[in-house]
Amino acid sequence: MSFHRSLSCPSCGVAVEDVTAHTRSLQCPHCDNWVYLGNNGWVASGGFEHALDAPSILYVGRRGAIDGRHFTVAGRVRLGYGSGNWDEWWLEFEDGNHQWLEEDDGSYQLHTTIDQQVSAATMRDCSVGTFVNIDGQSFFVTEKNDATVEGAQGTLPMTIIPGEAVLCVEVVGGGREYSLEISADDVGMTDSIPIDADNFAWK
Amino acid sequence: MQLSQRLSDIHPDKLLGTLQQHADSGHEQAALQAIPDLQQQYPEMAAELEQIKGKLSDKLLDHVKVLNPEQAKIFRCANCGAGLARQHPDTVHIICHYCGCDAEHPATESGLNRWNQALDLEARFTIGDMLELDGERWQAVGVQLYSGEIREWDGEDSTWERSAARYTSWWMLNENRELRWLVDDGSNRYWAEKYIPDEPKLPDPNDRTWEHGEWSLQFAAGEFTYQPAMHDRHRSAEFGMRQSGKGEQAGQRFYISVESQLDETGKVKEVEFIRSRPLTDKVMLKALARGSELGDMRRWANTAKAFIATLFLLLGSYWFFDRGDVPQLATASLNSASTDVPVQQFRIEDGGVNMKFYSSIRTIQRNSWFGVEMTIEDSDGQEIYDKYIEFWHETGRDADGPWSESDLASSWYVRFDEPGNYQLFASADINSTAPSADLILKTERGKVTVTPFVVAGFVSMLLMLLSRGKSSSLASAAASIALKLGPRRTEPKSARANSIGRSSHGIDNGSHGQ
Repeated sequence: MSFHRSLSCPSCGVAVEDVTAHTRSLQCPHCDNWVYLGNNGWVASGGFEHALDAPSILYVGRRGAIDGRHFTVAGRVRLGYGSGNWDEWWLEFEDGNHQWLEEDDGSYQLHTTIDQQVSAATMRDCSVGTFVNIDGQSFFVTEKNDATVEGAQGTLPMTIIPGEAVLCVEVVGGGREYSLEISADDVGMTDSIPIDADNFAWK
Repeated sequence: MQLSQRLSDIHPDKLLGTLQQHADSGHEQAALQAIPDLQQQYPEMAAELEQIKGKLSDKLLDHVKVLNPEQAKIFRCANCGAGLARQHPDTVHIICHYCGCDAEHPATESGLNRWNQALDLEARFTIGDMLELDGERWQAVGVQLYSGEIREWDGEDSTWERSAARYTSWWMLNENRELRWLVDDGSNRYWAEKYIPDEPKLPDPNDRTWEHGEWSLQFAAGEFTYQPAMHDRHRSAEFGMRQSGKGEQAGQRFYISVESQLDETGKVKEVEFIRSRPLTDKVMLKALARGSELGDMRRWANTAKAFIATLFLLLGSYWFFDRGDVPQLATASLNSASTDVPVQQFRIEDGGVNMKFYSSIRTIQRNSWFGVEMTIEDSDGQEIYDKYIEFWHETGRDADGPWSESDLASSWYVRFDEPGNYQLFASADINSTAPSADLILKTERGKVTVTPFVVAGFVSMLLMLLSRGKSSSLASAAASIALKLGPRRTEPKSARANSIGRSSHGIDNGSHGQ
């Protein structure tokens, strides 16, 4: 059973429906301002500098299925780094689970959060092309970028503030790829499973 | 070759008419692409060229090729107005393939130099072209040209062998917005995709099992998920292997490559693992739906098969006709004074018979020679054939040490048109330096000379090569999709005319075309 309620947009005051228990950020459908849950309640942060009008097979509200699991695209975050960017799509599955789907450089990866004890300092010190030890296991670092949030759409499970910076590290080990996002002392690690786009079924 | 290069030396009075002719004959893209260069070369005609550019841009805007119009954004280049498409969601940079500029930012604002425009829009494969591979449709949305150096270990010389190299990488997009790379090194093509290795590592630069490369970006056009910069550098390490296991791809060759993108300081900023498989001409032409070239290739394959069949037929015929009769042996001891020594008598039953004669001597003194005159007479004592043979032996010494050579055997064919009895006589050359020789003569009737068969085989091969010259040039031209980077001329014609003695290639506009 899902939890739904509404909130009043702190910018224009319109009632925004379908706010779930996971929602921490959303775009007001009336004034298009980005609204996020701060320490003192919902805050309007204005808009993003970059438009998200590039064509994609994914868009907020699109419904589909992966391997028989039905989902709705609830939100999107665009992260930019020095010379490029990528998109992360927040999928709400009908079975009650949520997952990020990354669209980067012509490939799709479904992220599953894994419980690993990772030190933020270790990740900050690691270098591309070397190995890093995470919870006793050795991983090869393929990419390390200081990324910023360049755009967002829909509703998201985290507080997204335009221009917010996050350190992103990609590692490979045991034939699998993992993504780590480091913000202050928090490190989130996900298992990135490549998805062949032919496996998407769209409604 | 780009149209602007072909028009670079045309008389100004004929420029506009010729350009318009190209546009009217269906080469609008190439004509539009040529205009920025022509405006620099013929500044006095810039306004007229601008008018043509405007008309062509408007016309081509409706004909921009995309995979799915609903998932593409068609727009005009901010600098030349040409119609372009943005089809990938992660695209951050589009380099106009008409004018070579950043397509979304006016050159004056972005401060970006115009790229060296190497793309030939009249080529048989270019940006916007589609291909169908493994049941999926792919479109070329971007292209890069890298040049650099390959280093591989030469086991024979125990040294690293270095060679200059370049390759073209086409960014291929499908309707699911997935990317693959079609790589062309000028002679072979590969279909490349990223993969996640079981045992990731950066190969040691001294590891002899890998082929190491150092690359620098020379040219880019189209849309990219990052911002390409002139002389972007990367290292590669590659080795080839065969697909193990069972199934359709078992035994097929493929390549594993580790690519390290470098920053300005040479530090590794990203590592990518690439797996690629070669695409044959046949697969490539099929993917490009080039039916006529495929037909040419099929014809060529049939010609090659016919040639091989002809060779076998010639060999079989030679074997059949050359079976011969039971060989007859005869010997004769000769000395330098021997004359008209009867060696062998034989009878020819039917006219038109070929007979093979094989003569040899057992031994000869070192550094001597022995000449023998062979004559064949008919039953009337009439000489019908004669042949002089010299048997010899030589020794010596050169930089490689002592050597010795000899020629102690000879064979020939004689055709007998008349039946009858014949006799072969041998006479020694009185000047021979060897005092004597034991001559052995072997005769075999019914033998044929190999010469006509060799000639027939050679003619067949010639015909096959002529056939290949026509078909393969079409096929390879269609299959070859590599870019050829040429020097870009930016100097106005008037300035060039005044600069006697300067390179005819003019000034390189900050880019390093070769």
